[in-house]
Amino acid sequence: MTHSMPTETNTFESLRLELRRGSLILAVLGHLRREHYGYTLRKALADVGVEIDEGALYPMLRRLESQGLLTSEWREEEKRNKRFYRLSAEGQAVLARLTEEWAFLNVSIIEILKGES
Amino acid sequence: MDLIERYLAAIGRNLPAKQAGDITAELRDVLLSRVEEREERLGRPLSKAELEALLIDFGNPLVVAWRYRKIQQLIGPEVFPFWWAGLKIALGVVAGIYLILIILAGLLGVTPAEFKQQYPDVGVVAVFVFGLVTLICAGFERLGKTDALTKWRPSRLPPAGVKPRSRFEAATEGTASTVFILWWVGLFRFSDMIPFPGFITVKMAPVWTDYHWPILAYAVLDVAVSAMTIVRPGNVRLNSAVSLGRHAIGAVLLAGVLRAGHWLEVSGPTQTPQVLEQINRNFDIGMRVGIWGGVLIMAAKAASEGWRFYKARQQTPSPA
Repeated sequence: MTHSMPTETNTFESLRLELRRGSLILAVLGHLRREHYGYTLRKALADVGVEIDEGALYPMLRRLESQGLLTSEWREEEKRNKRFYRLSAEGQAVLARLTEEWAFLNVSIIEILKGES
Repeated sequence: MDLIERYLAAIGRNLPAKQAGDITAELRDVLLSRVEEREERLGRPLSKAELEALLIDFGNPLVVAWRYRKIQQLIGPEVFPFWWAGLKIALGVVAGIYLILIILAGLLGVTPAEFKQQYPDVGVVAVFVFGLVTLICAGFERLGKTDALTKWRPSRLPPAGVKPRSRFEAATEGTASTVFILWWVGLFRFSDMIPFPGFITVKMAPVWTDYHWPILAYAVLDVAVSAMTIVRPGNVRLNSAVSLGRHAIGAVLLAGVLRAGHWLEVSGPTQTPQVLEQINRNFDIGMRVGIWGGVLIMAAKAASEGWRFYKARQQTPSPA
């Protein structure tokens, strides 16, 4: 029986994805302080270097909406019906807390990495 | 665009009916936006192959639809360790039961063909047990009752230096006692175990009738103690205390039976009284040795459980 050993690149890639996965929600909530529909949201995220798979983005938007963090409405734009998402009042409160958490974690990690170098 | 509609219909079939229309409408817009963007870049309409490639890249309809489901996994990481442990215990119990049945079948002279006829195939039972454990764990996952599984108390862990009885051992003993109970209450005929059918007839002596209920009660206690160990092997103090009592009772019972001096009644219409007397004497010698052996084994087990109880007690601080 042969076992395929993970290469350094594979390991890095899987850890990179894991690292980014947790921060995607923060990025999405942060962007939705302004109204977006899914397609423009994805492009906006990609423009700042946060790539997100469509297969993950749309279910995530639905989930955040069902949790009360987003509101949405169907509207016509460019001759097509589009679903626009925006941060709800509850979403704003959660985003503020998550941002605080993110900043704290960021400072802690930088401190740790500085100490180790 | 027929391909897009077919694709969306395939996704819709796998979505909850209430949300299907809304979700597929949103996905239609996403796909059309993608197509427009690509066409704009190419400066021409997409070919069928290019559209197919775009849809393949978007994802398998079942996978895309499934991402919208609340339940994303049958058994999640919280329940998985319990599923794995539960599976090991359940399959261990099945293995224990079949081990005893095979030994018993060997003693009763049951042929493999008869065994196959009487009992379900062990592979089928194992698959059934696998499915049952998976179903129960999936139920916990689905109902969100993972807390009920993950709740634990450090004080219930076995002391570090004491090895608790293994679940396999408890399952084997419990199964053996269950089989014994079934035989004791008459589900198996004693005559089935006679080594010389037709040559002699063996009946149990009156002492066994006198001890019928105490022995039955002992066997039921044995099954209960084994079940207790299977459910909570870490409770070493209680398990070993109960086991000690059980083995002590067993030793006393057998000692009582031993006092009878005569345990089997052998008769045979074709045998002379002298031959029958000799056979009876030989059987009684065999039984005496066997019962003495039983008493000693019970006493040794009681002592072993007593030692386990003592060690567990030494290592577990008394509650303040």
